[in-house]
Amino acid sequence: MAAAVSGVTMPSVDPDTVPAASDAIDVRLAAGGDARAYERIYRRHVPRIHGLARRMAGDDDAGDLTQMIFVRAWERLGSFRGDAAFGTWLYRLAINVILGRRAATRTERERRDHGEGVIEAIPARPARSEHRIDFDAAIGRLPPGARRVFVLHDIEGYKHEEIARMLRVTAGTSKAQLHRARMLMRAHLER
Amino acid sequence: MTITPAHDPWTDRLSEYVDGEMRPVDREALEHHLAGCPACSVALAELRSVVARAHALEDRAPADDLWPGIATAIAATPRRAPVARPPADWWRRRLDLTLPQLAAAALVVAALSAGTMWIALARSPLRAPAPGATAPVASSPAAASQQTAPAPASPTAVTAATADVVNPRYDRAVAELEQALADGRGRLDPRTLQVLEQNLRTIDRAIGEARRAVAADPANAWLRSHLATTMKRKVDLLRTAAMLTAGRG
Repeated sequence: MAAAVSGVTMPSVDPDTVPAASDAIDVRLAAGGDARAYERIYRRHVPRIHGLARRMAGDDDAGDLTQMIFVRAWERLGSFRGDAAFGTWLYRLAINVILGRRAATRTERERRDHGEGVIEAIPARPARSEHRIDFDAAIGRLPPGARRVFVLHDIEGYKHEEIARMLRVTAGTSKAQLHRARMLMRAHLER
Repeated sequence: MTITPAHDPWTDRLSEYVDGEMRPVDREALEHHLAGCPACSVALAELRSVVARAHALEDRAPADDLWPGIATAIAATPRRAPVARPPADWWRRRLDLTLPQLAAAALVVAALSAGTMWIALARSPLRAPAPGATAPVASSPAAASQQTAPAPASPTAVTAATADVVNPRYDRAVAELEQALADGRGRLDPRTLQVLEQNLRTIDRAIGEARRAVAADPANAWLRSHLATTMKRKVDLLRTAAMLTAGRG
């Protein structure tokens, strides 16, 4: 009995099965305090946000950071003006949270891991279904500076000038760190 | 095995080449170098492989559901800015939603307030069945769709079904929302407005068909719920449109 006409799905559709696909509407609802709308936003964006947090900060901190990002975004929904896509706004906020957390709690482990030799500890594995996970693991073991630029440039798609502003370095430094990261990842790929 | 041209100055510029950020004169020189340097050629191929792998990475949700913790935190977290406070010229700015966004928005808003119109109609004095009425009123469109054996017609049921067709509260709500849309249509992007109006026409046709079906089979609970759902969709879409024209959520 159901018929889809011009983007409006007609009767006998259970509303709960209709995929929530609109950030625009959910953001407005969430900004008014609707936690269910915000949960839909969370479900849509958590894979990428968590992936960003994991790659930028490591597995151990990714969960906490992801929660922190979504709580911070909830607090600041009112400042989202819709000038850019909500996803863009959210990812930028996520990067700020991750970088801010790093600056505040730079750990002994990070200082210790600052050498290029760290990636050498990655075990060689066959290039099959686990390959991407291994690649992720290799990213996590890059030196922090190179890792951040690699994630932001080669995975998230930011340009060097944008990365330079985020990390407060020069574009030249960003390019150098990217090349360093790629060269290290290349060494991992051959295994 | 990777050949690492550690002292080859061109090696440090291979990423520039991969990213297309090299000046033409430098690019030409590097390509000339690559033709005679197997080590750099291998390194270049590997760098391209790294970039391709990075681009192909897939995101996945965390193994543990983090939402409960977030829900708890936001329940106790005051907003820093309570409600979106648009800049002064925001009201005059044209909204430029994509068509899929708009279609999705209509569906989402319909889904979010699925129960509202249903409850409103169910509570309408004109629609409330009298004690002893045999025609069931489904509690949701989904439940209604599962009605396979409608109860036999009764005078009360017929009245209730007819009330769906002439519900004055519905007509008043629609009129107010249509007026809001008419007042604010100038603030909508023309393509957005076109899709809105197309969807409204579609829903109006569906309402007409549903009304005719109810008139022909007034005791059919599924048809009545279908009509109510379709009418609700129109209100929801109009509400969405009014919200978009007003620029508030």
